[in-house]
Amino acid sequence: MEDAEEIMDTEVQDDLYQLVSFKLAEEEYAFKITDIQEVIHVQAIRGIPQMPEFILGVINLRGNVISVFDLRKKLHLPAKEFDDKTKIVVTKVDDTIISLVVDEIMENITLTQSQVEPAPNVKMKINKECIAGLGKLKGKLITILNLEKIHEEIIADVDINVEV
Amino acid sequence: MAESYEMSDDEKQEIIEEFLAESDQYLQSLNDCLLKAEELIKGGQTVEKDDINLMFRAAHTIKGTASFIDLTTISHLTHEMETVLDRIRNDQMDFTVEAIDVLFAAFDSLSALLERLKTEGDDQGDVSESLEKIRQILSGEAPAAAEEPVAAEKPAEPAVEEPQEVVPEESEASSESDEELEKYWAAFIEDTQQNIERFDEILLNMEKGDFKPDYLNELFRISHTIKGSSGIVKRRDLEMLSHKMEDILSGMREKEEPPAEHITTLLFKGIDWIKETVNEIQSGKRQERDPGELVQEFEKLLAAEAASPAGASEVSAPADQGQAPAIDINALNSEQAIKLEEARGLKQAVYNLTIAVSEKCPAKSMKAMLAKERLSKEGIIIAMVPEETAIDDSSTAKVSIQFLYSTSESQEGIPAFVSIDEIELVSLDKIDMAEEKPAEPAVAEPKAAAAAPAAAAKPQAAQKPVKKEAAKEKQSKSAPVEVTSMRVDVRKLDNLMNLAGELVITRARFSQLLLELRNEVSSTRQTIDKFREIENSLMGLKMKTAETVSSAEANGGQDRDELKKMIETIGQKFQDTSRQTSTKLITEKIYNMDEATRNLEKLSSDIQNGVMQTRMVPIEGVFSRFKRLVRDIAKEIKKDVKLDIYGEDTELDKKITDELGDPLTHMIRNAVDHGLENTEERKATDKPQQGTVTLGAMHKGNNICIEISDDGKGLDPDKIANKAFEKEIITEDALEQMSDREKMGLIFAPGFSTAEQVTGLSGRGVGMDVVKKMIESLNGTVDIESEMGQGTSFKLKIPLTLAIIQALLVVIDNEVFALPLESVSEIVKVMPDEVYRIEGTATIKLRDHTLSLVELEKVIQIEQKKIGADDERRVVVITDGENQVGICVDELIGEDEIVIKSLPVHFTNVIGISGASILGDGRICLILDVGAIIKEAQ
Repeated sequence: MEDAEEIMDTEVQDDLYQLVSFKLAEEEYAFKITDIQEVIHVQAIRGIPQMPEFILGVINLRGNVISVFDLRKKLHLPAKEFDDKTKIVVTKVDDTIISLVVDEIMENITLTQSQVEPAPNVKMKINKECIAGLGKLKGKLITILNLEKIHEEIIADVDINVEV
Repeated sequence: MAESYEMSDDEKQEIIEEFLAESDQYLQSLNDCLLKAEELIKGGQTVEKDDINLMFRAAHTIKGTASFIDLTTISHLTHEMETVLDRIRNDQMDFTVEAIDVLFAAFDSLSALLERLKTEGDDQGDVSESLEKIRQILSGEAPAAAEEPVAAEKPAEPAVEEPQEVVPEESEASSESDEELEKYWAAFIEDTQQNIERFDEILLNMEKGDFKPDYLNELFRISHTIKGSSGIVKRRDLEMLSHKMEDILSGMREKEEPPAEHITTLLFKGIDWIKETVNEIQSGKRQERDPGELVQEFEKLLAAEAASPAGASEVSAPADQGQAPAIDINALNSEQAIKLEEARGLKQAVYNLTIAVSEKCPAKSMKAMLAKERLSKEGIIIAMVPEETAIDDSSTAKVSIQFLYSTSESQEGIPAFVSIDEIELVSLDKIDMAEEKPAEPAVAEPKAAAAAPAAAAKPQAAQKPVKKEAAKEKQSKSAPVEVTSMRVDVRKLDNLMNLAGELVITRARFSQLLLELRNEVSSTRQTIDKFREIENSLMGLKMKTAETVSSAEANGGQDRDELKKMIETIGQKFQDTSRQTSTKLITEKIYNMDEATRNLEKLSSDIQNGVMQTRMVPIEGVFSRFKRLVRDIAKEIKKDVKLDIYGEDTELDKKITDELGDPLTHMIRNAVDHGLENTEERKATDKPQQGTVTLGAMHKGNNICIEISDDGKGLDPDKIANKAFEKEIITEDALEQMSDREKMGLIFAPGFSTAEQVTGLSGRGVGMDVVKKMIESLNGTVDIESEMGQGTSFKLKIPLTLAIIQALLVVIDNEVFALPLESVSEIVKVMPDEVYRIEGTATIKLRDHTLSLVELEKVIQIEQKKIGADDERRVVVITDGENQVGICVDELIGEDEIVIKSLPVHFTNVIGISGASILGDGRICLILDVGAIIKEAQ
């Protein structure tokens, strides 16, 4: 029956990583597809004063004012001017809609459990806690980011007392 | 059934056809859900609540219609199915494979019955087997195989939480379950609180010596209403106490004289107890309290009153226990209010109609529905309490149902509508909608009498021991009242408010687009002008060529003709093109669109105002509680105090009134406790012995001004200053430079309290600093005026609404900012040589005083354009009510209404920016927080 198939599907899905990968400083990163609401072109960002550099400001997303962060700067990667490939990834984390600027959107990928390893215990460019795992696909290495953790850090960065 | 009303065969056939079509859909979803459920149960999983509800609803709906058209077998069968499903969804029964089997069997029987109805026109099929199976499963016997362990062991709790929310009203089971009650709580709390306030007010008035016989009627009515609604939410404690109060009042109102003091005191006690209890309920405590002692006091009083002859006949009149509370025509929900309006529009009379379903009737809800259907066929049911879905079929008591009913039929004709087996007409009163005075139902009386024969024929009415009493009570219930308000969910209004905000934004976007379009047209026009020029020069060329050619005629004609032709073609083409690109049509369209946009602008601002108006409530609701507060405090501290209130019908946003209660309470306490001298002190001066506290409100532009003043000793600036110094709030140096006004402002400093001794009333930790903060959180300001020996006056200024503000839009370094117009006092032009520096601060001279210019870059890190030495500057002068500073802006855009949007959580700590707004062109503009900027600048 239809329903039975559906159940089977979700069961299998649990073991799969459905990801959207993107480029940041020549390397490939990914978010879980379920974290992402939409991807939009770069649009006018209204800056807000007194904020760390990685907090670019706010954008108008269909009448809603939402925060924009520069993911490169947040992860302490070298800065880069926006170009026509630059995209804004709109995500929902902890019931807050936030958006992150990335260099380029790559593709939707599916990895099995066996293709994903935990972050290695060596010093990495970015905070290890922000990494959910390392995915391997066709010889490429994809860093899967932990969005909740990143947002936690952002909240800590702006020093506000909100429940995360 | 012996019913006075019979459907014609045609009518019946039509209904049956409709019923069959409708049932088909429900059968389909029933079938789908059962299959799905079976699959899930066999797989050891839980069936979704939604699906169970869907099935329940299907069975319930079929049952309802079937019983209406007398398809007894179908209604019986579906009723049983409904019972099974109801138990399952309430987790009173496991959803097992057996249950599925039983439901499937019933489903098959039902399909067969419907098939029979289609072909034979009746539903006389045999369903005994299915019914027997249902009976077995309901009684817990396993009909066939033993229960499957998988299903049986399944824990019931995952499903427990959901059902309340997902079940739409009409599908509610007939039993008045807890979730049903939950819906009443909110309404109950609100109604009862309003009633308590009114009760309090009347008691206070009477205590003051202002007595009207109507008051007693009103008190009686309020007690009665509280009793009734407490009954609905099953609060026996409240019901019991309000019943006792009602009894007392019932006796008193006959006497038409002011109650004795001990009675008033007891009534105060009673209403206070009710108030406390309702507050507890509101804060989530649902435990019943024990009103035992109070009830005893009331009983004692009752006994004493009964001893006097006047009271005797009254007290014996028992209140009508089983009766639902009268429908309050003033408390209709929106749907009902619309119906009432409709009825009024048709100029139809409105009646209060009460019927009772006999206690012996097995399917009371069904009978109620039948009555409802009948009534709605002949008129409009404005309200029905309780709804048929809320009637408990298993109850063995008589069920009384109240209708607010309107019909074009004469009053005498109405009893026929409800002449149904096992239903009796209890009362029928006409409500005179035009009658202004609520307490004098002169018109209603003869009509009620006309209804009397119908009522008298019924044994129940005849049994009423004191007829006069009953009639009187009915009269007060049906007292003609005008519908002036209705209840709307605040969330709905909030949503509407947001939409209105979006509309304003979209409107602005239209204006913007129109402007762009106009620019586009004017540039097209320029292009056309260019075309014309080219065309002209081409003509010139043509003539010149003709001349040249004719002078060189001898050279042969062929070249000449070709050239001529070529030039002519080009000329023609230019002419065509320029004609085609005429802007006339588009200009006309733009003109029309401009007009439409202007209309839209007016409409959207009207809508916005309208929506805002709906959120506006009189401040009376907040003020009225202070009458009691002042009385209580004055009694406790033995001062003679009078509270003067003015402007209580001043309206403001409901949200703000909710927030105002606490700060005002505190300020009034202060005024009575600290502001006013005690009686001896007052005697010593020339002041009247009675102190006066004044509480008033009025509109001033887009603000509401609230004044709390007393005629007491006034604030002593030096005493305050010393205190502040002692408490190390300020330094001695600072003190010396302070004006009296500034010194008085110190009472708002955190940790300040002027009371020399902390009494139980004031100084319980909520200082004036908290009051100020609360007012500021509403974007309001507090101002003090005080004269020694004459009194103190606090003036609050609060914007009427929080969602939309008038703002001045300015450009600072290519970014748009909004300044609340409220805080802009003026705009001045300044030449560079007029700016000088005092202690490093840029300052200008504004008339006869100096004004410092805020450097936003330093204060809140907003960059400002570097301006050339010779450039004229525009300075916006902003104020927080006390201080003024200037902000240099690069450009002024103008005034506009903007919708405030809060910034995302990440920007909570940003100073100097209070929010954002979206402009017509989609850009975001930041709203500057004037108060914070001035504070930071100092």
